[in-house]
Amino acid sequence: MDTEDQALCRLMKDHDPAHIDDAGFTHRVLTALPPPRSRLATWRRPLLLLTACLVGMLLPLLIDGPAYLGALENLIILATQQPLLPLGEASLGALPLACLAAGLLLSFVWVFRALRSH
Amino acid sequence: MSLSDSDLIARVLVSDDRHAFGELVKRNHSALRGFLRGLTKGDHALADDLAQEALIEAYRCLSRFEGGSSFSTWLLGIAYNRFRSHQRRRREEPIDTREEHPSADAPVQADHRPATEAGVDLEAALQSLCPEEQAALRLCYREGLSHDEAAALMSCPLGTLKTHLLRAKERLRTLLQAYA
Repeated sequence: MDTEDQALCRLMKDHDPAHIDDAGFTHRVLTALPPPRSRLATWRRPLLLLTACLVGMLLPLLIDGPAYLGALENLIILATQQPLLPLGEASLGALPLACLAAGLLLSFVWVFRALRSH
Repeated sequence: MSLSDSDLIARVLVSDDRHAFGELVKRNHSALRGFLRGLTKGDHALADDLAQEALIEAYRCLSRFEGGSSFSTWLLGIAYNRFRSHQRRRREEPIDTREEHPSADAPVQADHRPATEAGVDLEAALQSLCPEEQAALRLCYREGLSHDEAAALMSCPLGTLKTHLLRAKERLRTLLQAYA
């Protein structure tokens, strides 16, 4: 910083503008702030998704448990013993599992974010 | 015992304490509004509107404040960006009612006058600069920011900031010659 810079710096610091009165400004800002976010609102989204995933998993079990488990078992057998399953069938079988996994992952991410924000 | 800015920020973040945010507003509004009054060439109503917008944005983005600079400096950065957005919006308006930017030798007026003659001259001279030059000078010489910090805060390249500073100093030298 050269001498001119130092002089300018001193001048600017020495001659700060006069203090501006609040005159209701703080109140005006506080009333314009967004409404407080309730804790419930933070948790609503992950909780809804998590519940939907769990209900989606449990509902078929309650309706027809043995058939659902049998279907799952067949799917696992197909996946492990026939690796060259036609693409259409494979994706059809994998779709519900992929949706479930994505839903669970998303729920956990939201839960993590909600925990961090609190 | 008064709490530090970082304590107040922590209270706002943890428990959405609006009294704590109010305290932050009380501590910083004068500098913020003064800075914006300079940029808006003394338009108090506009400066206060922009200050309010800046404070609300600061409240929303408080979790992004990393403490690299002081809270007041961070606020000035937000305010400057708000001012620039406002300028862009005005440029896009079909009827341009902006005042011409006063030239270096045009008479200048200060609206919030500091106590001394030198202060009056300086404030008047500062208000005659273009907003970018004014902001660069205030951030570097009044707030004591480094060129890198000021450039980051003003979202402009370092070279551009240095150009603003050079031009501002050149113009100030001319304007303040009478006082010297």
